[in-house]
Amino acid sequence: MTGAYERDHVLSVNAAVTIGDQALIHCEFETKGRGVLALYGRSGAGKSTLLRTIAGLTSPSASKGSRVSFAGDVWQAEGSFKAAELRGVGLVFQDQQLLPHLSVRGNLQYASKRAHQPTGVKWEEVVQATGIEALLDRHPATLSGGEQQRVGLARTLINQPRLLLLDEPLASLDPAARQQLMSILLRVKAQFEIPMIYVSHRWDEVIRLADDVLWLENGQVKQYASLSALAVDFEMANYQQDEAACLLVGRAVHTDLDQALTKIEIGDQSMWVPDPTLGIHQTHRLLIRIQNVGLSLIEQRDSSVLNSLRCAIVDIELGEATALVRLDCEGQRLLAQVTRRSCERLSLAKGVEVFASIKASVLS
Amino acid sequence: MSVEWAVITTTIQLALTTTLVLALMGLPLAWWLARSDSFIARLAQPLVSLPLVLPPTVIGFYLLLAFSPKGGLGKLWLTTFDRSLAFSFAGLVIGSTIYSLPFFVQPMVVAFKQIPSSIIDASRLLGAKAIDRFFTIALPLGRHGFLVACVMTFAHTIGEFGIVLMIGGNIPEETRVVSIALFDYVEAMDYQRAHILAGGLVAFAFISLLIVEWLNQSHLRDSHRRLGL
Amino acid sequence: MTLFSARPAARSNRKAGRLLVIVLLSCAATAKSEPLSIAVASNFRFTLEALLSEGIKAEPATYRISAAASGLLYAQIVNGARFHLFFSADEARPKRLMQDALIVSGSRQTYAVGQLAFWLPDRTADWQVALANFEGIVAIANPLHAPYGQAAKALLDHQWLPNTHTIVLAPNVGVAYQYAFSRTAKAAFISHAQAIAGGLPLEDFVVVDESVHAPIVQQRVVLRDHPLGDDLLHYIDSEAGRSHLKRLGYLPAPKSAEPTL
Repeated sequence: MTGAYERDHVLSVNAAVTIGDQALIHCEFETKGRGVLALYGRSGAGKSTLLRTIAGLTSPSASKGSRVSFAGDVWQAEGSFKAAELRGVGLVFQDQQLLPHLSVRGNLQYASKRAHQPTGVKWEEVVQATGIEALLDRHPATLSGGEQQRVGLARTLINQPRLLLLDEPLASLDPAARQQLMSILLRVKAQFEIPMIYVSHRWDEVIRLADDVLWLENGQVKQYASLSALAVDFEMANYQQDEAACLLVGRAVHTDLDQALTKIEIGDQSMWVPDPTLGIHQTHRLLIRIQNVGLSLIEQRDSSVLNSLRCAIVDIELGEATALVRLDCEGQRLLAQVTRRSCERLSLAKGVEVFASIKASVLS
Repeated sequence: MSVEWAVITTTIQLALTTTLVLALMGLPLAWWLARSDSFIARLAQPLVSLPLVLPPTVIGFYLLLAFSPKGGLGKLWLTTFDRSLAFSFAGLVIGSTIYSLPFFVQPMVVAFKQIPSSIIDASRLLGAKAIDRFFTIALPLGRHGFLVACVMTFAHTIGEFGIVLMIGGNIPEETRVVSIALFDYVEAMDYQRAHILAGGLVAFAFISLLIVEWLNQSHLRDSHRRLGL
Repeated sequence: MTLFSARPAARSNRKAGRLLVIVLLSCAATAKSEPLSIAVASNFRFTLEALLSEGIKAEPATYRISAAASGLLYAQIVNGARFHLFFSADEARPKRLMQDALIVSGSRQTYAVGQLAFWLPDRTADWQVALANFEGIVAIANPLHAPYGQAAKALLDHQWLPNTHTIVLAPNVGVAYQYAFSRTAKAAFISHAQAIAGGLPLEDFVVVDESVHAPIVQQRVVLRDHPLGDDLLHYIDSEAGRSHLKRLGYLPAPKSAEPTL
């Protein structure tokens, strides 16, 4: 359902980029106009090239024949090319390109002076959201990787872009910094209403942040669907192998501080997750590794696994040794990877009701 | 032993003026050459380097023709300022600018080329248009190269001879510079004065190079500090 | 130490002797076939070449000419440059070389006397009026070291051009010529020889009467002997040579040109 806001922020892309006689990307899609679109795929799939083409950093000659328009504003077409500086698009790079001759504050002021639109985002909001109050008078060269990324993000936000592009911003960070920046990104997503396109080859990042996923392979669109659909897609699961994970969304209702658990409501059912810090009455995304989902025909009460959710089997794909089972739980879709043998032994089939034993970890 | 102070002040004035003129027109030119891929830019590069390989007397000869009241430039100057361009300080400045052009532009192009494209991309996406980028990115980040280019241009102009010989006219306090005076002393077999001037030029050249070396070293130290090395 | 192994002594000695003479003679012959190296003031260069090629019909391979400002050539000679002859534009340099004891004794001699010419292209009135009213830039060679310039300066100091005018110093008469040629200067004092060599229309220049200024004495010296050099100098002193020089724009050297000391 596209309302006025969505229509004002739809990005339409038909990109063809060639270097020499090698075609780097050739794809066509349209965004929903809000939320986060993830560009997912292995390294070299053309994700960054696509992002740069949207931003206007690919030369007109290399991207000849491409069409890019945002909210009806034509950025690139046959015979016309709007310069990057006029597009009002923000780009957060993998290695922050902070202006080395200015302090952090100077960098932010540089961006703020050239804001693409007069509305919205305030200085204090951005500084707080990205947590950089203490860094304002420092110089970029003295900042750690994580600090530089936070400043880079703040700088881009203060610039008031209409569309925010992020090119693997977490890639060069250590796990702790990565965690911190992801929290900030989630906060930014919730607080500032800017459609985002997020490039990553890591599914655990995509699954936390994205609403829709464009799966790129060899510069072409392999699949384009909502996150919830792709999270339980068989082709995707096979591609991801050990990394495959899906998600459940639920509301936290109760914290057991004694046992360090939080109770999450999922429809009429509930789960316990081992994180006592979750905000009550807030929605949370739960990451579920498909290998961590066990299926049984009866409810598991005497098991070490805390959770046993009643689901209905929607679809099964049998492999050589393993099988992928798609489940419906309270209207949400789940994926479980079990052995083929178990599948046959339990006579699992479409429509059968099973209980899923889930080890969940929290995403947000 | 009297020293011709007027000759030294004229020479320094010429070098300073030339450096100033080149700074004003050379900076945008160098920025364009460093970042543009256009056909014209690629053609301009060897043109800028031309004075390096042309004998000064050749440049001087063509300038002489251009500055004469019949030549294009000379005629324009005469109608605009009612003065002859040949044998004037202004004429020397024009000649020196051409002669020292590569000495200013080439180090500047190198300095500008060292600015990472990604920084420029970042500034573009923040909304900085071309002129904005020149003043807020190119100039601040090309600071070091600018100092080196200025010192090189200044030193090179001080030593200029061939062109001044042709188009200067050796007019005291206007176009009589140290190199011309040196030539006169040698011609007149006044070797004592010649030694003084020549020695002064050598010392000056040496000091200039020392300054460039010092600038390079301190820039290197700054870069290392910034990278945390 | 004998060059040959045990042979009848007398015979081998004669053979050695003959070999030595042949070697020495060929060395001398090589010395004789060394090209004539001439240092010449730039403004006399083309005249010199005419004298060599038309006057004594020398093959171009037999001589080498180094043309430069007289002062530079002097400096080179004083620092060991191995020229055979030096044709200066003045007499001061040859005099200094003689004092420095670098020349073949008695070889300092006048080879020509220069004639000054005043070149005024685009002249609109007759000479008397044009000179009387001349204003603008006149180019002369630098009097500090150029004899033609000194002569020109002397003329100008005596109001040869009575009206107010601007004097521009060219490094040499060649550049003075260029200034007038390019019309950067309105007029120039050049040598008569240049006017002839440049094929200037006769109405555009006037040869200055030599009695009005100190003579522009141009002298030469011999630094090292060379047979071709001798030929050249004899030609210049001969009647044929003197009239050749006259045709090219020089006044002949005074006949009683004794080697000056």
